Amino acid sequence: MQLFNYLLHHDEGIDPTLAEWIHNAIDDFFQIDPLVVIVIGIIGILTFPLILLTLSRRYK
Amino acid sequence: MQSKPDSPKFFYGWYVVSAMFFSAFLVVGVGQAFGVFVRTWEVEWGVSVGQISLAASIGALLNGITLPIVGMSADKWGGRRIVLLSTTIMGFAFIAMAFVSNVWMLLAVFGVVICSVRSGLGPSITGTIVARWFQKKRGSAMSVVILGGSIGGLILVPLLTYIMIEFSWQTAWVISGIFTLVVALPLTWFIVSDDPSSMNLQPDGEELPDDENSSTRKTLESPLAATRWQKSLRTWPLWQIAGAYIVCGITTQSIAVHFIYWAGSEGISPSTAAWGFGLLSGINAIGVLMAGPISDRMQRKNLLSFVYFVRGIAFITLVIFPGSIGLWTFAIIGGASWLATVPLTTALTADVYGIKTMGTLGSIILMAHQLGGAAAVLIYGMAFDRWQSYDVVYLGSALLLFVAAFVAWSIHEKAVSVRYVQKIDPELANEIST
Repeated sequence: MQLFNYLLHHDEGIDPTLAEWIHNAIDDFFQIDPLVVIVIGIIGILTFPLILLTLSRRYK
Repeated sequence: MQSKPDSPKFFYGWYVVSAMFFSAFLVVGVGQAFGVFVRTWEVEWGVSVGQISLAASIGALLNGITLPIVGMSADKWGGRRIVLLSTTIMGFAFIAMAFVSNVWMLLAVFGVVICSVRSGLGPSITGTIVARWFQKKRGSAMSVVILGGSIGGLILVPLLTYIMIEFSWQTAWVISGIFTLVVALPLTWFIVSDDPSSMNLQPDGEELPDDENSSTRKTLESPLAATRWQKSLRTWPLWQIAGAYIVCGITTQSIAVHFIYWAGSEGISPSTAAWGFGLLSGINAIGVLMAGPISDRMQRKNLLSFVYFVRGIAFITLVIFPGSIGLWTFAIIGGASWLATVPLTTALTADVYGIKTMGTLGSIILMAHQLGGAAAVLIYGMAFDRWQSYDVVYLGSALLLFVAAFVAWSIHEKAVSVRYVQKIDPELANEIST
């Protein structure tokens, strides 16, 4: 069982203080409503595949 | 069959690579965010961190075991179908994660489904597609795909953390699932094709000579290419590549798990250690992006050997320099060599063994990497319990890395790679293999 316990080190949880720090750092950077921050993040990520899809269709 | 544009300015293969970059970005990024949710589940479900981590550990084991099966499927049915199927299952599984309410459900959805299916989006499968689209720029193309996973971790882990704190962990998983199904899946469906010939194109976008018709394939045969993967097991390069890659698994996975513990034993705070690991990840992205293009201009095995050597030096710095100096030095030197081995190993495997058995052989090599990593996590833990220090295993890892550097360097690439020789006498192949 001792051997088994070492495997439990896999995917330890993120330090809650660190998670809170990440949240605050993002808030401090944008200084806008959290919902808007998330929408900006999603739109930012969506931009790449949309451009890619458009350009690839034009190629074909 | 679609006709090729008169003068394409941009080779379509780069669209294929970009689509797989995004899939890797999403799937690897969300996968790396697992740790973000652990503490929340611990409180909400009233279970221990160990019980939650057990689901992830079983998943890691399943991921390693399923790799060759998925690889063989890719060789039989084509990488595109495997990527599409994996992306679809992954998308629904991400949404299903929002409905998980105990450890058993976590084990079923994350440990079994997500971790098994993740094999279908790994470098050994995406490599089967890239290898068909690129020959001369194979390393560069693989670098871009692998970079997707590295950047995914850097961007999605903080974003999902933010969503979890601001809304709920369920919201984070549902958004991830919707993104996978609504964005990554159509992107793969519409853009990714298994073979350039399906679009009347040649690898690397090269033009067909005027005297050749459209059915003429310019794909070159690798010297040790075989129609049956079992034959490749009797050749030296496979064991040289896999042997070095095991050391890669040992050194990356053990650090991923034990880095924070090591930092604690050196008096470094978890947040500083996280910053150090973040720096390592950032430099890793640059290293990954540079490794492929450089390897396209030289023998890949030389760069692979150099990368292992540099990582060996990085491990020595952890022993020589105490505390935070060791942390930052390792982050910079180790980061430059971290996942740079992945595009190099995948491209080298394709160069030597061809594309017909690429899925199976690439998966066997990757399985060696995963199992080596799992064993190292155990050994590192036992060593720390015995000596209350990681110095012995760090020095051992450095030694292994120098051996891996030598093994990689000893590959006779000019005799077995399609980049240097396209055909080989069967007897000569036999000599090389023995």
